[in-house]
Amino acid sequence: MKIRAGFVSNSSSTSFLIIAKDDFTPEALRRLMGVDESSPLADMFDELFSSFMGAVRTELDMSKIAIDADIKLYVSEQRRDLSSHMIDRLNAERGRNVTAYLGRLDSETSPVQTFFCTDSFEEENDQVYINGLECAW
Amino acid sequence: MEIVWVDRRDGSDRFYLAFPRCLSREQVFIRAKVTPGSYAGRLVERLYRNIFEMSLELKRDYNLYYQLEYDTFYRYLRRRLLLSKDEAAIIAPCFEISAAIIEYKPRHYFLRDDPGRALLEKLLTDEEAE
Repeated sequence: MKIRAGFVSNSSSTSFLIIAKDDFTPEALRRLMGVDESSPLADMFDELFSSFMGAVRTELDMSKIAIDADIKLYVSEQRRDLSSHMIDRLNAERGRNVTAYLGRLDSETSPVQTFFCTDSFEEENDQVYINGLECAW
Repeated sequence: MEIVWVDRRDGSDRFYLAFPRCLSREQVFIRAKVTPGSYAGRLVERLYRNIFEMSLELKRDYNLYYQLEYDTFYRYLRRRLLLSKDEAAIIAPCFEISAAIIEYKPRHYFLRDDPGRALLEKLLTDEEAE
């Protein structure tokens, strides 16, 4: 048995994939999540939007990726962060007029970002798809 | 509504929420302005259940189980819940004028600190009863 004395870090991260047909905006995120502009929760989701955009590591114009291309070549730096479900979704979007954003939220930043790091979610409407299922909490 | 945030930094952080009258799920949803069934709707549903259905209601707890042991609600807050004098002095006067006083241990990290308290106030303040 090992005994550790001192502080233990419990930081976490959540990989995310966002696919947007048009510009991904705070309004598009609020609409997807079901939050009215005048909702008390609106500020929280606007902060989540800023967190997403500040954490994007890869942005892909999917219309420029051939439908038979190996998507893993385009996401090589983040390959380990992406689930097979995310890869399948990216494959399905090849050649379509959408933008994909990949990144990772960090639990050591703000209470809002920490919360979304501990929650797993997958939401979709006719404009935006978000996969936040890869929670490593 | 009175909100007292007790921050112990030892994992036992909690809010004490004194309500002039209890809010229904529908009232909270109207205030939240979220779409039922959406991600935010499910989040508010969880929040409502955590506060109004799963948390300890202190007036009931005191009246049912502890008023013989502690002759005042203030002493119950100090000795049973180990609140500081300042914290108990804010909550104790709410006993007579509140329909419910809830000890809420927040499971949602975004409720920490001032923005979290402001969000709770906006969601849960019952302006008609204030």
